[in-house]
Amino acid sequence: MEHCNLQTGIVLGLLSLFILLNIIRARRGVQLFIRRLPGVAHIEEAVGRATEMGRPVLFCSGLGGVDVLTLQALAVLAHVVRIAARLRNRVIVPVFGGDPTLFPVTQQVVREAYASGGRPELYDESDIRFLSDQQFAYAASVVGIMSREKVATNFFFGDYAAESLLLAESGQHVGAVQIAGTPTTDQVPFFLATCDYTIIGEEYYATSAYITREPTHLGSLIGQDWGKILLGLLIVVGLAWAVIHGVPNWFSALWDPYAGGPRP
Amino acid sequence: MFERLQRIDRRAVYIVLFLLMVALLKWPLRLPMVVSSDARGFYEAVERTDPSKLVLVAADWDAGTMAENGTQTEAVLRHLMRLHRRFAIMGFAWPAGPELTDGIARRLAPEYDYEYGRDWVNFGFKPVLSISLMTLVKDIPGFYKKDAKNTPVAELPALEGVRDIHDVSLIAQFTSAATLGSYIAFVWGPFKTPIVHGCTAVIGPQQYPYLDARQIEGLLMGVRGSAEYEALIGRPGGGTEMMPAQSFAHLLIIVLIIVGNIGYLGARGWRQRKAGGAEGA
Amino acid sequence: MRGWLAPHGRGHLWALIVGAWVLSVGVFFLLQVMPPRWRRPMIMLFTFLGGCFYSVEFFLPPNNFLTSYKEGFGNAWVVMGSFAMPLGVLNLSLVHVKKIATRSGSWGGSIVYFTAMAAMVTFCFWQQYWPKSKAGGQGFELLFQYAYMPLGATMFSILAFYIVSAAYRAFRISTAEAGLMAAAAFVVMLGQVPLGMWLTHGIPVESRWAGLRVEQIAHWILAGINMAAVRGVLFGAAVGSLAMALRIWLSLERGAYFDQKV
Repeated sequence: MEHCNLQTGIVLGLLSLFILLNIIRARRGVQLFIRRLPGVAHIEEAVGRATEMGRPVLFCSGLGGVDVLTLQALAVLAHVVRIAARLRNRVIVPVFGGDPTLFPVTQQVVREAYASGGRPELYDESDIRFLSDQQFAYAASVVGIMSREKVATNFFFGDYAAESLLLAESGQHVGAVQIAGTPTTDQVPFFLATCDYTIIGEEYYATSAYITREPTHLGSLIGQDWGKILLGLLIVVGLAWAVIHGVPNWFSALWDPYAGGPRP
Repeated sequence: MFERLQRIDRRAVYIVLFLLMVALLKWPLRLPMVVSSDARGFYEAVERTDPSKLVLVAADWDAGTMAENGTQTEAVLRHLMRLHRRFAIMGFAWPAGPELTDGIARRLAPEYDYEYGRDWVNFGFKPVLSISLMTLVKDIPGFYKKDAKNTPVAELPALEGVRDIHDVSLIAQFTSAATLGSYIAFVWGPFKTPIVHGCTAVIGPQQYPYLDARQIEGLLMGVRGSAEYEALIGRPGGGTEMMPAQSFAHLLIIVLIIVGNIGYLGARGWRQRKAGGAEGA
Repeated sequence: MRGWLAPHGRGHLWALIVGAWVLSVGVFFLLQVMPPRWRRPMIMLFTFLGGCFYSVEFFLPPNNFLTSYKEGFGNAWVVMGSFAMPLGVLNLSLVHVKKIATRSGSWGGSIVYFTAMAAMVTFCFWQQYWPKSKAGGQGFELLFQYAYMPLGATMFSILAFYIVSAAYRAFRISTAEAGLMAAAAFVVMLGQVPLGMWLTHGIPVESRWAGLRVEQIAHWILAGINMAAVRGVLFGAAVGSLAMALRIWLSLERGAYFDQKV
């Protein structure tokens, strides 16, 4: 639709209200519960394994630019780097060049994470590598890095497209432990087949909230859940109504402003 | 033995797959193709296009998906040319998409007596998909002042009488990324312009909600979609040639999964028997 | 105001372009000299106002006072998006220049990068602006059709091999659910290809048992079960997008990733 009608306005308004209300609640200190996420617990174990083997860790933040998906991947990156700092290990971060502003942002995140992990001297600028703005050139470069640096652990968090299988299967070939997290459903099967632990769908957003305990993320997540419950209830009510009464024209017309009339 | 079944060298697997594909591309088997209702919907939507209006061909794909989107595009362009429909090529996802599609159109043009400028135009690539769609639906010649060769649109007979989205009878979108949502939101939603969609097989399953809600009239999925469309237009092409190879590739995957599971279940059973024997002793 | 912004003639157009430049530089300079405690609220204000346009225009009734500006704003966004494209190339070029200058790592690859870029740009412009010259067209075709396209297709083709080895290695039927998933996967894979269709071609299409044809079962799995699941995922993604948009629009993301005390 080009403009909002009453029904869309009500639903959008309610969804926005749920999200903002829960962000405010979280910021005011209300304790919001997120269940334990299986993949997150293995992050420390995976970094520890790499340290024992004396090999570095690789963290890919996907093909996105400075958007919320990639920023959440960077939150996980900061967590990984803090663990690596504690264990005195390197984290190599290949950066996709589609959004040029992502590179300095990534550098800042890694530098601050090493510092907060108590090892600012471990930060090495050459470990944050600006690769290419082309999907497969980026993938080929990352595969090359995995082989040459002999990484022991790979993390794939962010927005991925067809190169996901290239990266993850190549990581399998070098014998790395792999943890992936992405909300993009079409790449999830490839990560599930090639990675040791996969964080999928909504768990991806929950991961950064779980790790950072940032009120905005927690509140937003709970607000989204309330919104999905509302949509689920609407579906159930609509389905029940359709089954009991059939679907009369007026019910269809409620949701289609052009039903039965001329279109502009 | 069971352990060995689970550890077949992947290089052997790659060689078998490679030889199988090469052999079947060289000596294809002709197997019957059943056309799905999704592809038939696509075909019928193109058949129903208004001859006085324009068809927009959205080329949101890149060279990597030439085998899927390229063959789909070729089959659909053949159909449009056979029906003598004017069409305009545009693209918002990858710069190479419109160029590749224009190359296909130029290759087919002599066969159907099609002439660039008179029967089709190439608008080229524009970034920012959603904003571009929002603007283009209101004023097509205003949004695309020139074509990809810098010719003013006023000098292109193919665009005569085309002002806005109401002068478009169909949008045929070909893509390898999740771009359909923007077309639904900014074109189908407000204006109910018919949309048909050709995509790679990887993202195909995600498009079914739109098909079920009749937001798209038809769907071509991967190489199978190309082969189905070629069967409908009665002109075998790249899709039909690749189907035997794809068939046996799928069969190989199934066989390997079964072999791997025979090894897995056999080894598990053997370990359980061994453990049970040890306890008994 | 819309009439004043629409250029009347070349002079007016240049005046608008120069004016926009001056305004942008002025705002940028202002942000730099502003005390830090004012900078953040100013950026939040610009972000909020920028996001307001499309939101307010959508919620107000049709043909409101903002509708006539939609096209102009849209064109401005497209222009800005076009500027973002060469930024990636510029950044990449700077990285490679640095590599060559310091002879670090695989700097030979950086020389290949510049050579390839120069060749492609040269032939692109040559065939665009001198279309009568055959050399330009042939050079472009050589690089685009016989180098760029096969390289992209090759990388994509590797996926075919990788999925075979990944599927063979990973799919183990260790639980009943995994068995169900494997069965569904087999049916869908066979239902997509003529070989699978041939297996059940003996069942007539018009018969009451036509639903047992493998392509029919595959279609039912995709258009029924899969469709419902994907629709649910779409709902979640849509609500997530709304949440993301709200957080960015209201500048609630700031402080989540940056400005944290170390």
